[in-house]
Amino acid sequence: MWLILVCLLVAGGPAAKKKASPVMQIKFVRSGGFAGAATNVAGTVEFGEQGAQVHAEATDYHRELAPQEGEQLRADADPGALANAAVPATGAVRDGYQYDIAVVTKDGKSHSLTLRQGDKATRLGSWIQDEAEKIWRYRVAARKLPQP
Amino acid sequence: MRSINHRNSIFCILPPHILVEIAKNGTKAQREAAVLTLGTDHTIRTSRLSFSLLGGLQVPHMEAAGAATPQKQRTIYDCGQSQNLPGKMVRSEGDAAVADSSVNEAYDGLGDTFNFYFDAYQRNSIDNRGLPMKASVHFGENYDNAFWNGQQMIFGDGDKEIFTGFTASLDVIGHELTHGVTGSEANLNYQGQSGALNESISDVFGSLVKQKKLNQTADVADWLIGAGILAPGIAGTALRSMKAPGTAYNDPTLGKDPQPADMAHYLKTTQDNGGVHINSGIPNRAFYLVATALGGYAWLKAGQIWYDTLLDPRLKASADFASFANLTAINGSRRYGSGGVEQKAVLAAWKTVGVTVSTSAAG
Repeated sequence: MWLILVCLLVAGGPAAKKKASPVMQIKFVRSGGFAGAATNVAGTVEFGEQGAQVHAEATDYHRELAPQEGEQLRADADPGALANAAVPATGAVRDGYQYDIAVVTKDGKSHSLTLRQGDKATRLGSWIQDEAEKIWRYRVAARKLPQP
Repeated sequence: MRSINHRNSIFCILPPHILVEIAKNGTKAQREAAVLTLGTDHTIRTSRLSFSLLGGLQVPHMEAAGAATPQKQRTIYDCGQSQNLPGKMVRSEGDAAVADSSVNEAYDGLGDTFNFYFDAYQRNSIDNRGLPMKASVHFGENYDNAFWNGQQMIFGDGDKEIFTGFTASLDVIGHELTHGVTGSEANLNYQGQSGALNESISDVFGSLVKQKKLNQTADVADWLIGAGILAPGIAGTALRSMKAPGTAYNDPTLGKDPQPADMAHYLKTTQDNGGVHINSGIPNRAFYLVATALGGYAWLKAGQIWYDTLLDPRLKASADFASFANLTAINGSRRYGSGGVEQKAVLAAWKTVGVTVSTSAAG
């Protein structure tokens, strides 16, 4: 009896919950909008032993994710959860943004997802939208800086 | 106008496509009865069918013809930098101007766009049935976009470094409202070539709204989209050039304008719904070429041909550039005569941008 209980606790305990995520990288691109390609944004999130960090193309934007934020993002990007990450809108948004997301897992496979402005935002979708906006604002703010 | 009692009752139960055939091929009396029946069906699709069979705007829409002078119904909301729609109502039809310039720009821009569609094409608002027009301003914080959500227009304030605010340019407001018009008519799919046509139609009529407001002929118009919303210091004149796609900007932050001017440079991409804001440069330039070849006010002939095509029931939601081009040639011929300068200008324009018009349409 005690042996069974111990086995159950071990199987369902913290070790089982900390099953390593297969997600290694998330690439995302924001496109569309009234301005079209002028406001495109591309970013990459890398997951490693030291945590997660995001950087962007065409700028020196770089941000270390807090451990909790990184873990949550990695869980939300799990390929098993991606199927539920897009809830298409019923309305006809025109000039809205499009977000193309590609999740690369340990086995080298890429799992893609497209979200559009007006789609019901899931946690992953909201994070991508917010991060894309942060990158864009960084690019805008960089214009104010004196050029080398 | 004929009394509705004159129509044949059998037409009441016939589906629209059969009525169309009768309207095309029946006797004179049958044709008139079929057209009258189509005119009493208030679905959008059959409205478009009867409209086309009556010869487009040579006869006004049934609904508009019988209605009193259309009245604008504008309502402007303030999102207060939030993204909650529609926001607080701050100005409605007939109210005096307020202190907020964005509110007034949106209000006036909707009015100018409404007036344009009615004066040029006798169109009563977005749906030709007097649909109230709604717009929300101050959407988000320093938000760099304007869009149509299927029900209303939404305008960001811009970041002030690159974009000064999206209500500042009348062609932007005309562009967004035209998305509603397209949605009420052909409802072109927002993907690939049909999506690029959807965008182009918004640019075409957005530009025409501005040209009419400024009383400009085709030869003096700037043919730019978004010229008034770029901040000083941006290396560019606008977001798009209908005259010379691909030349609107070349800026360190915005990159280089990627619009192609012809089919040889058509961009295949999965981003931006298949490049709807990129490949729209091709039909945009075709329109510019027609308008400048014909001269005068662009909304009169070139715009009329494009408007007739947008309302043509043969324009499918999945239309590609070639099928749209065919219909512009057909509508140019129908309205202004086969082989006339108008149809020739249309054919030459599409040829220049590399879109082939079928021989039957070129007729």
